[in-house]
Amino acid sequence: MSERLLRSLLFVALALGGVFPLAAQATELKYDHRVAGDRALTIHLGPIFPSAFQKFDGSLSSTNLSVGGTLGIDLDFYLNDQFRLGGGLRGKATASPNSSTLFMVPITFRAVWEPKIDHFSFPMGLGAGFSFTNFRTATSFDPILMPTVGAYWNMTSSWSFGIDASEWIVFQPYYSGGTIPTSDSRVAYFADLTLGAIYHF
Amino acid sequence: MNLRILPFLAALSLLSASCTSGTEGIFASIEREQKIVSLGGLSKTATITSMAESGGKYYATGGKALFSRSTTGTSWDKSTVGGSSEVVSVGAFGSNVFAVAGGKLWTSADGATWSDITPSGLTAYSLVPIIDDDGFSIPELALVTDASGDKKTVYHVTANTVPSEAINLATSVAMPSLSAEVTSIAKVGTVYYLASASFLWHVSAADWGSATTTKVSAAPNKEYAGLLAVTGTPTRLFLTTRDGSLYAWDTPSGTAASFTALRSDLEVDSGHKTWLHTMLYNAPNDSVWIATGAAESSTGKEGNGYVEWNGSSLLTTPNTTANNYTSSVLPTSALGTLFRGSSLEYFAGTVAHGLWKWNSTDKTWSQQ
Repeated sequence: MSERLLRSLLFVALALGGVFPLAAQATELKYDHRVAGDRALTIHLGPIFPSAFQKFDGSLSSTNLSVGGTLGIDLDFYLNDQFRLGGGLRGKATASPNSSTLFMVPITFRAVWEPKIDHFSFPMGLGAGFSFTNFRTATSFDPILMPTVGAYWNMTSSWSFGIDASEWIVFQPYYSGGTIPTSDSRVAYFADLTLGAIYHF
Repeated sequence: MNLRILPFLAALSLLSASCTSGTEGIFASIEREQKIVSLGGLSKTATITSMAESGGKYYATGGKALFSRSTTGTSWDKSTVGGSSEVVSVGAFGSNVFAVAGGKLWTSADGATWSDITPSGLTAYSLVPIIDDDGFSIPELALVTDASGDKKTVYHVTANTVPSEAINLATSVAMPSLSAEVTSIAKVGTVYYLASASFLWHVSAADWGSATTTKVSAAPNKEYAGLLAVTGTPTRLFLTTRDGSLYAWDTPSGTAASFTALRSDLEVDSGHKTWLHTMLYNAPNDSVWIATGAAESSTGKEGNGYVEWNGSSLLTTPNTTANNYTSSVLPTSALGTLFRGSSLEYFAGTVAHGLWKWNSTDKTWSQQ
């Protein structure tokens, strides 16, 4: 009798011992890194399309620039499961009619809202900051706004892949009394479409 | 770092203006940039009626695109001005080149990016270089403006900004039916002499901007073509008239002229009149080149090249020691312009027969 009881107890113990790890594994699969304090590192790469230059009276004109390329990196911190704050660093190059290159390196502070449906995330955000601009021998330091939308597939809890579309709105206002006439004031619009990879950690 | 501060920093960044080095906005300069196309040589049928030199480059135009090349190079580039492929005339001084295109006055420091400096409410018609008695263009230009076909307002261009000083030829005397358009300007000392078909004008330095102009009296009663001042003993102001005559006024001064008739046969043959007004002082030859006009034909492309006044006689075959002038197309071409570069390079722009350069060493002509 005691032997049977011992075998039964051993069977139960071994059975339970096998179930607990499964339960723990199931818990691990459900665990989501996107909680307050978590971070997301995003890398972007893709083309950028010069859209228009706009004078401050509202009139639009062609940029004269070619399609160029852009790459960037963003680092965000989650405040909760759907909202994150952070910063972004981008670089872009486009060419003028005589093949001179317009370089721009914006640094922005960003706020992103990230609703999710199943395994997909749709981050929407707004960045604001400054852009370092260089063209031939001229350099400039211009305010920039950068709204962005994206669509990502959350392959694992650590990696997501998808696309982003951003609009670069760069301001170059000039005021009387300076060496540059106020008539040269412009707002520039660029649109990019990039492939993105996000690492959550 | 407290992340809550980030939105405030983002908002603060938008309050700042741009900081840009240079004298023009980056986006604005890109917007104005014109594409330059490399051509190699100019077309052998190009029409060139205006030339200038600035920043180590020659500029040439004839009513269509603007051509340019390095003064030491051989290959010409082609571009537009302000988006217009109808560049009427070009001028330059210092590091600035100026052009009239699309009814506007433009300026550029590099021949690629142009800024509109047209006086408000006016249509730019042509640029007229101002030649002093040393035979060089000086750092001044005249802009003839057009208001309803009236070309009586002439601006004094002395910088790469919108010109403000002007004279109005209509305020002096009633204009006859002949054109008021100023086509030639010579500067003697501090006085400007302007030639239009109908009148010769005297403008002092102080007259620019005061709308005061004075007609030169006792000038030949003819249609005027060109003016050229040449320093010497004495300094002479040459005048050509459209009937093919050459006059000279020794020691020009004031408003009462004293012209002496030198020649009446600038027309090499009938039908070719010196209505194309350009004269040029040729230093190596110590002579005056006078461009002759075009026959009044349907094509208007034929003419008689240029003639040369050596101080005592007129040479219908220009004076060269080993020249190829007569074997070129120049003797039968109408000349749109004669131009002297800073390195004693001489150019003849023709109507429909291209641009030619004269070599001052062997005195031969070559087509550009």
